[in-house]
Parts: sequence; C-alpha cells; structure tokens
Amino acid sequence: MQSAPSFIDTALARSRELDGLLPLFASERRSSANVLARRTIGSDTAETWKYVPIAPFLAAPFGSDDTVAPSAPVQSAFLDFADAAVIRIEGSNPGAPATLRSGVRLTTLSGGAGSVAMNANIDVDRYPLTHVNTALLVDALLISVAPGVDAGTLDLRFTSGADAANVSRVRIELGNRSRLRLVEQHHEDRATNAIVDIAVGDGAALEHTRLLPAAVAPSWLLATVRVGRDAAYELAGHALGTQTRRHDVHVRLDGDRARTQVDLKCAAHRKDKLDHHIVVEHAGVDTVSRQTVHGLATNTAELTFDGRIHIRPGAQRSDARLTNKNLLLDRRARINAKPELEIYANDVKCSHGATVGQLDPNHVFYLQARGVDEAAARAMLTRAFLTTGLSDELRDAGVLDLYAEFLAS
Amino acid sequence: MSAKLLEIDDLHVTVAGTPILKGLTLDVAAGEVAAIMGPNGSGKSTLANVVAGRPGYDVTHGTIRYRGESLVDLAPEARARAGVFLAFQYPVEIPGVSNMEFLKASLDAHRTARGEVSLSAVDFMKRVRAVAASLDLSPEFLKRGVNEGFSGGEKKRNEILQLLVLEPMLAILDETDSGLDIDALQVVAGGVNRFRSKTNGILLVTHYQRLLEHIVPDTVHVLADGRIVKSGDRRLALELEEKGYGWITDAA
Repeated sequence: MQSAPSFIDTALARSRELDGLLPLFASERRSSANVLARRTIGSDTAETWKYVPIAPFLAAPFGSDDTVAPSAPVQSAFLDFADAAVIRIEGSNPGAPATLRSGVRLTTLSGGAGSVAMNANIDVDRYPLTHVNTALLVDALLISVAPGVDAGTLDLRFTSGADAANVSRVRIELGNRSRLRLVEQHHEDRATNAIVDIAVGDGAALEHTRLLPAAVAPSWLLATVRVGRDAAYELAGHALGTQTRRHDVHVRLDGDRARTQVDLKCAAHRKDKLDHHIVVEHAGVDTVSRQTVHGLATNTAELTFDGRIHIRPGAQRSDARLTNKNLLLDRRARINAKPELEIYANDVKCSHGATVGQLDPNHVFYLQARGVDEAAARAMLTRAFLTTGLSDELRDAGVLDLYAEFLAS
Repeated sequence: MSAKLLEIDDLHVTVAGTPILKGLTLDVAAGEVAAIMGPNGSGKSTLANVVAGRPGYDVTHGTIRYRGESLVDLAPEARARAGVFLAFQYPVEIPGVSNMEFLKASLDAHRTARGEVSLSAVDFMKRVRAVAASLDLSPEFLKRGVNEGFSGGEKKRNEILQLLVLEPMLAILDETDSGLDIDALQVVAGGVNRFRSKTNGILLVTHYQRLLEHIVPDTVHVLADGRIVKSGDRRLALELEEKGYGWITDAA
C-alpha cells in the first residue's frame, strides 16, 4: 500500500495527541492505534474490498491534524421530518442538544460520559476501519432511551467540521420496550468515517431512516445494530454514490423473536463506485429478517451489493428473505450483486435472489406514444423504480429530491 | 369527406428481419372511420404500430404521410404530439407512475407542442374526472399506477380515457374490442363515438365484425399477407362475418 506508511505515521501521532484530550477513552484508542501500527489492515481484505478499495480509507486526509474552514452550512439540504428533535454533528462534534423528551438522555465522551467500551458491540475484525475511527475519534455522541419511553423522532444531521476529515461515532441504546424513530442525514463534503452503533433492548422498536446523498470524498459508513428479544429494527436507507463510498450494515438478531426489515435504495452515476454490504445474523430462535435492496447504475458507475444472511447454530425457525433488484441504465455501467447464505441450523426458512435488468422498452414506448419524450419517459420510469415500497412519509419529506442529479444524468 | 389525414403508399415493413407488410396502400380522410380487418398474422397490428413509430418496426420501402408530412423519421413522441394516437392492444402496467401523473405529463407535452399553456391542476382534474365518469371509471383509478392491477376491460377503457383527454386527430385503435364483454364494449364504443367528428380520423383495427355494430365504419379494408386485398363499405364486414376470410385471402 503506497500511501499507508505516511498515513499510519501521521495517524499514530494524531492519536497520541488526542490521548491528552480524552483520557478516559485512551486505552481503547491506544489499542486501535496499536492495530494500525501493525500495518496489517487492508492486507487480507482482497475479497471484501474487491470493488471499492480500502486504500483511500487508509490515507490522508484521515489521520491528518490539518484544520480547514468549516464548510458552509447546508441546513437547507436536509429534509425536515415532523416533530423531530434535530441534533447537529459537525465533524465529530455533537452540537447543543435539542429539546428532548423526558427519558431520553444525550451525552458526549468529552462531556464526561465516563469510560465506555466503545467497540464492545462492533465486529472489528469484519470492519477493520473501526480502528481508524477509534484511533482518530475526537468525541462521540451517546444517546440512551429509558425503558418504556417513546422517544419520538431524533434527526441527526451530519456536516463537516473544521477537521480535514470527518470521523464520527454515535452510540444509541434503547431500553427495554422503548421506541425511537431515528433519522440520520449526512451532508459531509470531506472524507468520512462514520459509525452508528445501536442496541435495541428487549421488546423495543427502532425505525431508522438513513439518508446518504451524493458526496465528493471517500466515505465509509457503518450501522451496526443488536436487536434484543421481541424487538424490532427497521431500516429505510437511501444512498447515492461518491467517487468512492462503502456502506456497511450489520444487524444481529440476538434475542428470540427479534425481527428486522432493511429496505435500501442505492443509485450510482458518473464514475461513482458505491458498495453496500449488509450482514444479517440470526442468533435467536424464531427470528425474522427481510432485506429488499433496489440498485441503479448509469454512466460509468459501478454499484455493488453484497447481502449476507448468516444463521447461527441454534437459531432454529429463523425466517430470512433477501431480494435484490437492479436497474442498469447504461451499457457502460456495472452492477455486482452478491447474495449469500450461510446456514448453521437445520430448521430454517431462507430465500435470496438477485436480478439485474434494464428499463422495459415497452414501458418507454407506451409513454412516448402519449407524447412524453424519451429522456423524460426514462426518468419517469427510473423514478418509479425508486418509489417501490417508499413510505408516504419519506416521499412527502422529499426523499426523491436526493436523486434529482442522478435522474438528470 | 375532406382532406387526407393519413396516406400510406406501397409500405413495406419488416420486424426482426421478417417482411410483414408487403406493399400496403391506404388512405384515411378527415371525418372517416376506416376499419382494417383480416385474419391473424395478416399484419394488422404491425400497421398500427408502424404508424405510431414503435421501435423494431422497420420501414424498408414506401411512405407514411400524416397531414401531408412524412412520419417515418419522426420519434414516437413527435407523432403523438402532432395528433397521432395509438390505443394499444395490450396496454402495459407501470407501477410507480400514477395514471394522473402520466396523463398530466402527456397532456402538458401535447399542449406545449400546440403552443398552448398547461392546464391548471384544478382544471386538469375536472376534465379528467368528467371523462372518467363517462367511461364508468372510478376516480380511484386515477391515483393508482398506470394500468396497475386493472382488468382487461379497465385497461381498454383507460386507453379511451387517454384518447378523450388528449384529443388527437388520428386515432388508431388496435383490437380495442379484444377481451371485452358486451357491456364494456358498449362503453368503449360510446367513448370512440364521442371522439368521432368531421375533423378526426379513426383507423379501427379489428378481427371481428362485432365492434363495427357499435362503431359504424365508413370504409372497410381487408388485410391479408401484408397487403390490402379488398376494400368496400360496411357491407363488406357483414359479408366477412358470413363467409370468413378464406374466400378473399385465397383469391388474393
């Protein structure tokens, strides 16, 4: 790795500087820095980093302590959700907490959240960039919802701060039988390494909307979620390309009867490389998962979806389904679809399937025969593909506006 | 009858390299309803589709003129905006595009081409609802995806709805009667008859005489093996019903 040595050296120096800032977090930071120092990250990841390469995530501006002017506020680019408490995160610095419902607690590492094992719930071997995040983290946001509380809607809005790269961490804990609607919107214009780490307590319910509009720098985002007994986690994601973006989602159905539904739409254009890797692990019995992923690629973009269902030993009567539908809009574009099943229990229901197709010429002609020109007809049909399964709430909030540039390309 | 709306002269068309139309000549005047009849595989649907400009229908020889101008090099949308309308034999279902959104985009395209301003949303809704009511289509249909989950009869009525909203000058009805029960047939025929006027022309492609009892044609043409082999008035259709197609196609 050509750029690795200089990156590692600056990252390690930066990490040591940060020790003084957040002493309570120092031991975890040091252990991740030590992993970085071994320079093994990225060396054995050929298969999982086959499409979007890992190199740009192990290079400057990550690790650099340069500061730059914060980007112009882009609040207008964020979608508004009814009755949402807005929390702004600039770089890794959480802004002033919005008014929260009682039973919802918001703290930061720097604000004295105490010593928390920040990586305890993260599969760091699977997600080695977690070490970069841990070594370079300046602060983290911790949100907890007390048992039985309906926390309403929290709207996390990420923008770039003064650092040359955004390294952020949010940890969310839902107490038993609590509820939360979480909206996560990213408008970072710099290199990004962002982790959202979620625990959904027994009988709790989390409805998560993740909006990742097109960005201009390498972007790695991880959502890792543990779902407890009788708990539910729903994710509706919309992700567009950047020159290089990798989006990881890891859902672990730990509790019996835990269930999850992941609906993801992703679109890549220009020369974007956009990777989505979803792992759903069934560990409890009678767990249910549904994954529906719609992908679109045009121009010379490359879109990858790697969806894995993993049934652990003893996870009997797991019921898992994965559907991946892709629309290839340009003969130069490329779509890689990789649905995977790994099953270690004998009484399970699993299905997975992937298709790649083009716009139906009969549909295009039908619209043209009514006077709609070809480009508009294709945009209308592409939009229709994006609206499959879209909730009225997201549609009304203007989520399709995120695709305006994509649809015009 | 006045000026020619559609003039087709010695038209040869191939589909995927196979010749289907082999020297078809046909005129439709303003105000005329011309029925095209013929056995399966004679080229009726090819004729309807090539006039509308469907990709894959290649004109290898001959001309298609609409109001004096050649259509052959025009994109399908340009033909539609100029006033050529194809009612599809098999209207497609397009989930995710609502009927309303689709109709509005179509009408806006037509009005812009004619140099007219777009209708306001309110006027548009009024107009579409009135037409829908005349075709026994519930307003609920308009909110659904284009033809999504519609029965065969509902799809055909939706084609006629579009015809009446877009107000073209030349309507090509491709087997609009197929798959309709008698009640639906009467509703559809009623819609077509409302469209009929001194200035509009209709090319009625059908396999059966039945439709012609409800939409009475001025002229009837028999198409066999890619050519018009016999022309007459509506009595020809009755004769065909009695004798079948064999006596004409064998002679041709």
